[in-house]
Amino acid sequence: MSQGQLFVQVILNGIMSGMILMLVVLGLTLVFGILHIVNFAHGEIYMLGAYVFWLLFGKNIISIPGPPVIHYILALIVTMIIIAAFGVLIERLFFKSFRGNLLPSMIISLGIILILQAGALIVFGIQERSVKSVFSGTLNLGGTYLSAERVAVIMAGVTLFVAVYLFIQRTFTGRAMKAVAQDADAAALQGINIDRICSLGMAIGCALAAAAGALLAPIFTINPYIGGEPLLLGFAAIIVGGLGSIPGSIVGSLLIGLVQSFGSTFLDSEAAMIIVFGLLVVMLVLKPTGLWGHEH
Amino acid sequence: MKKNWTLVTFLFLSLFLGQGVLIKGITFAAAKEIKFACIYPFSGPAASWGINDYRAYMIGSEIINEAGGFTVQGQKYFWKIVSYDSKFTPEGTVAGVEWAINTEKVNFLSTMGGGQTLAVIPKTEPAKILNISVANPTPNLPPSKSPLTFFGAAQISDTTWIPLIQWVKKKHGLKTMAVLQPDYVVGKVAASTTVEAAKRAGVDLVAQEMVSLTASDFYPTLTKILTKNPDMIMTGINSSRSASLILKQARELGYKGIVFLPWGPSVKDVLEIAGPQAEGVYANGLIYWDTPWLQEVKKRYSAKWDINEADIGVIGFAGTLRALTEAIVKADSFDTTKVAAKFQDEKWDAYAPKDSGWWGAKKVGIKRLAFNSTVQIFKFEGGKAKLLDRLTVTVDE
Repeated sequence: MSQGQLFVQVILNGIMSGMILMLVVLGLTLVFGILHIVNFAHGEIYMLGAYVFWLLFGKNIISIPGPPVIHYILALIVTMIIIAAFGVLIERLFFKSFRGNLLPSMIISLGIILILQAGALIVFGIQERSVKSVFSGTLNLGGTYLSAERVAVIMAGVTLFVAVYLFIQRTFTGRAMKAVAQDADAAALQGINIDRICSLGMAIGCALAAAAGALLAPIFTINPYIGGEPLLLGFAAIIVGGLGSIPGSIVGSLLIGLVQSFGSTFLDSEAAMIIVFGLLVVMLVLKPTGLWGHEH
Repeated sequence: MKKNWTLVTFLFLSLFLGQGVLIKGITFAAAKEIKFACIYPFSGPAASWGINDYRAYMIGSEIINEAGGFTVQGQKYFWKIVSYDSKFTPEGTVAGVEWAINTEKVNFLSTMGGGQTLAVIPKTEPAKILNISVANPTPNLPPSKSPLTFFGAAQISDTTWIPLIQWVKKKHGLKTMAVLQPDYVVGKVAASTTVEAAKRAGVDLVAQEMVSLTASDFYPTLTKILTKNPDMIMTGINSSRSASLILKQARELGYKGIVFLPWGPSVKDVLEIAGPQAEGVYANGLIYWDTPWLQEVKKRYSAKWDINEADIGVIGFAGTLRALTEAIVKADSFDTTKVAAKFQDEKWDAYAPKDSGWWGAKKVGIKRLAFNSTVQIFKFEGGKAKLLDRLTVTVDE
């Protein structure tokens, strides 16, 4: 591998990590933007998504005729629907009373982390689970490599992102979500049902986290604790990109992915994490609202 | 006020439900039972080791109990295995040992991991607890200062890896190799022993990288390693899960050289995680059921769990409990100092085709270091691990 190929490979690795992180970050951003709560349990929603996908696709509990890729896509959609419904449930049960109230919502989400991790341990057991991929092979781009399954994940991630973006920008409900995010009281005076919009925001946020978990299940492995790292990196990306900003979350995710990739390759993985969180501290000191954020 | 009560009730419930889930051992209805505590990781990256070693003690206790238990000073005893999830952290292991000593009142237990064992020695030794630690002794973990701690790790990297590297060199003309080690205390010791093993085998170690225990994405580290064009990538003492992910991702990055998984990976993990990328990979420390005792262990394992989940720990530790029981019977006492004196001379069926036992008399004055007298080289072909060769290991006594 030449120096040029190495450089391109490191950039590709970083973009892949960033795109994967973007799905987690997008869900977190939506939930924060609309409900004004910081959901630390978002990583556990990601974990649940991976387990549900493992049941639906890996364990094949729903038999679907046709090629595996159809089964894979259907399992992904069903996983997102199930976890979206679960998101609505926890929003109604736990977060509704604390909307816009950061501290209690953080404490609630810490409790949900404990419940979901312990629940996953009891229900799914303690062993690592893995899902076989339907995409095999590697793309060789002039000496740099991309696995087909990672390319598929990136394509799925981009598709989901575009769908959510168009939904928010082009539909009445999406614009209502933006209105609630900007000023919930003013939105309510315009006849927008705040409860409905908040539940929808939570549903979409959780569905995106579930999609990330499901898409990554064949690439990595699943255990009840997999939610920790994406959440930590996700928050770093959000703070760098700007809390509540969708373009900021994309830039933040890609930046974190690239920093990690360059740091891990040219230094080591520990140094990469130090650089990531160093960047976070610098951003908090110099521009606390992040690259695209605004004061709340 | 209502919100506050909701919050308090919720917190109480979540803490109650979320507290570390204890995996309770089997209970034999008997008047006199003696407990053995497995303080192992049942969650996290080393969980498959912890689960299998725990299952091994369960099977060992079943065999002993079904045969009528054992007698000490005229009284019959049965084993009861209790367990605690250490999460493979020193603090989790200390909490587990404190629970085992204070709540379960055990005299005998087993912990996993070098750093973890180092952390519990100040608890176990003063309390006269015999610990069959699943760890290798390290410079930070001197056996001479912990007379009741036995080091029962399945493999000793500095003794087993030299013939293993030499074997690959002879077969494939190996000149350069790279290794990924887990970034914790024993991984660092393994890294230094790997340097020595490569040097003694006459192979150039072109890269050795430390990776997080919980890492899943090895692309950046592997990209760095691939710039050195090694003939072979070894996954070091990484867990079964990590080693399988490293294998898969190395192949995805276009690596066509030799991949060796030397640290007892589970066949199931390798096949499920790496899938077709597992084809042609070498491994050491896989299970090989080749004695009547091990066949019995296999039969019992299969009756309860998926046999493909079994790793080398299963055949290592079912027999260790039998050996400990024999030592207790010979000592005719539960006094751990007396038991340790007998235990060091016990032999049992384990990793080697013949007896496993303890060594270290020359090195530390007492035989408390388990050893493996053979390296078994397996190759993954057609979705199965096939035994290719057995190599003799020379230990320093």
